[in-house]
Amino acid sequence: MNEEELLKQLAKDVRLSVPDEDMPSLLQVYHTFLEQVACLEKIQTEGVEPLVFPFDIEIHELREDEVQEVFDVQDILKNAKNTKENQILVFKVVE
Amino acid sequence: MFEAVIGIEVHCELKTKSKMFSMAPVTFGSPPNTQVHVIDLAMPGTLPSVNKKAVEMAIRVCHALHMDIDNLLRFDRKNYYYADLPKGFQITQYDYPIGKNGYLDIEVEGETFKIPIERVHLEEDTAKMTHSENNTLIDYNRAGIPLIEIVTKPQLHTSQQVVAYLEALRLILIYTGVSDAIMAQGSMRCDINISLRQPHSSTLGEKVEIKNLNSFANIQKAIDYEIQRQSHLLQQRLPVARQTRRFDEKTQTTVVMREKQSLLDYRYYPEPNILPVCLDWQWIQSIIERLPQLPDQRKQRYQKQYQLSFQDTMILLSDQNLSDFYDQVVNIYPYYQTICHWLIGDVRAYMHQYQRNIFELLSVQDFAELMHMLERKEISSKQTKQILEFMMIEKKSPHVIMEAYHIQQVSDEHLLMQYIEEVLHDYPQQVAEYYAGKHQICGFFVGQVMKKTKGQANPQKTNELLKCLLKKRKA
Repeated sequence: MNEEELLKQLAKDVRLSVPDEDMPSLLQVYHTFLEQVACLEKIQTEGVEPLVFPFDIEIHELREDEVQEVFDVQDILKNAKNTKENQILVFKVVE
Repeated sequence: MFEAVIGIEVHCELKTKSKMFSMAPVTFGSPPNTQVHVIDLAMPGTLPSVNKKAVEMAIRVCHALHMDIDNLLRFDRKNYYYADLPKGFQITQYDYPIGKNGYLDIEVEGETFKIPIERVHLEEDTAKMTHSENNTLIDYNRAGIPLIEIVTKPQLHTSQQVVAYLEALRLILIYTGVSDAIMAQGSMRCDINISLRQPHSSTLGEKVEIKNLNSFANIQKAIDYEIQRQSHLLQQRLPVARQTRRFDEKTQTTVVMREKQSLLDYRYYPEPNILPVCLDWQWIQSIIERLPQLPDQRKQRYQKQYQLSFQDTMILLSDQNLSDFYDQVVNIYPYYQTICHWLIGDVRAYMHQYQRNIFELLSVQDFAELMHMLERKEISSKQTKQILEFMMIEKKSPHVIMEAYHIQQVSDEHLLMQYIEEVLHDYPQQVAEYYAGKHQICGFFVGQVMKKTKGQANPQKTNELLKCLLKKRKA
């Protein structure tokens, strides 16, 4: 699979349409991205603990188990393209 | 002959009021999409917050399963793109589960097995999806309900062990008060991983996962079928495919859901929106101290101290209310066996018939009084049954019932003697048989007295008086 085919496959996987005329600029962005990753790979990380949070803190509080008012079902369905019986209707993607 | 190697993953919904990371209510059977918070829908700018009660419940289960509890609570993201979680990931615990290295003792045909439990972790449930031929309907009510996942090591070998483990685990989930653990409603769900190997070999065959199992009976059938299916393939030197299968009730077989070519890469990484939470050991200790007596401890007490049979013990334990009620009654009058006998017999049958829990049917004090009267032979078994039924219907004490329905036991010796003499007079042939050595015929005479008194004669007293009279007459 060449680079163009790879990008087309990725676009298809995430359901984005990439017109052919956009492909040269997308390839350029892709190359820039690969160069940046290559720079990152040069950094010596052996023995370095991954940093997840910018500050080394722990919290002690948890949320009390209390209920808050929720959206009305009609508000929830506003975002859905298709609905049926107050549920969100999507294409079946499993066999 | 191959050996099955089985591991079990159980997902259990926790009965908190609100969801794992949002304040939406946790309910079962509500109309679709009526219990959904902005956080559950992954609306931009929303952030999760950890439910304290869910953590407390996880700690209860961890303690009951003898696990090492990690007091630094950390969450991870499990990334996958599917509409059952709008965020595009599930918040779970991957690297640091709240509980590690536990076990659960189970009993199969009198033999005890220690089932090692690898981990217990907290996570959120996904939305419920209903598939039709071309479309899928999504109800987000379930999305975000707190779950604990309990994972055993692959060290079970038979379907009987699996069912015994699940039954024991279900009792723990109920007795610790964390879940109703009803498989049919999905509050306890179970996936089974099963592979076969040559006996004593360390090389495992390809692993098959069985999903969508909704009852213990189906689990047993699915495992037995799967062992048979894989054995058949291996005997024919055919490969066992790495698959996810489900149990098909119609054909009573397992059928392919999907092929598993390779392990899915969920790109787990620490959840950046939840900082590590340091749990106070004193708080953890106070949760453990408040736990009620667990099923295993009750089982020991019932069998060793109260001398109940294994079967009776398991029936009592299978219903926490029944077990609690039993404990309260034997606390008043320690007639361990009699009380158990009546509870798991007549009372339980009535409970099932009318779908009521025992505390709705009877008061502890009234039932204890009834058992005391029976033990002191103030009433017969037949009368006990009669009174008990009225007590459950009318919610009154045994004394009030006896008075209202004129139920009493005739223990007056003079009166009983009159009935006995009448019976002996009516049945001279049977009396002759008695004197000819057929002593078991006494039961017949007692029965006749019971008939004459409409079941109100004290049978023990009648029997004693009858024997005395027969002896006296012979002399």
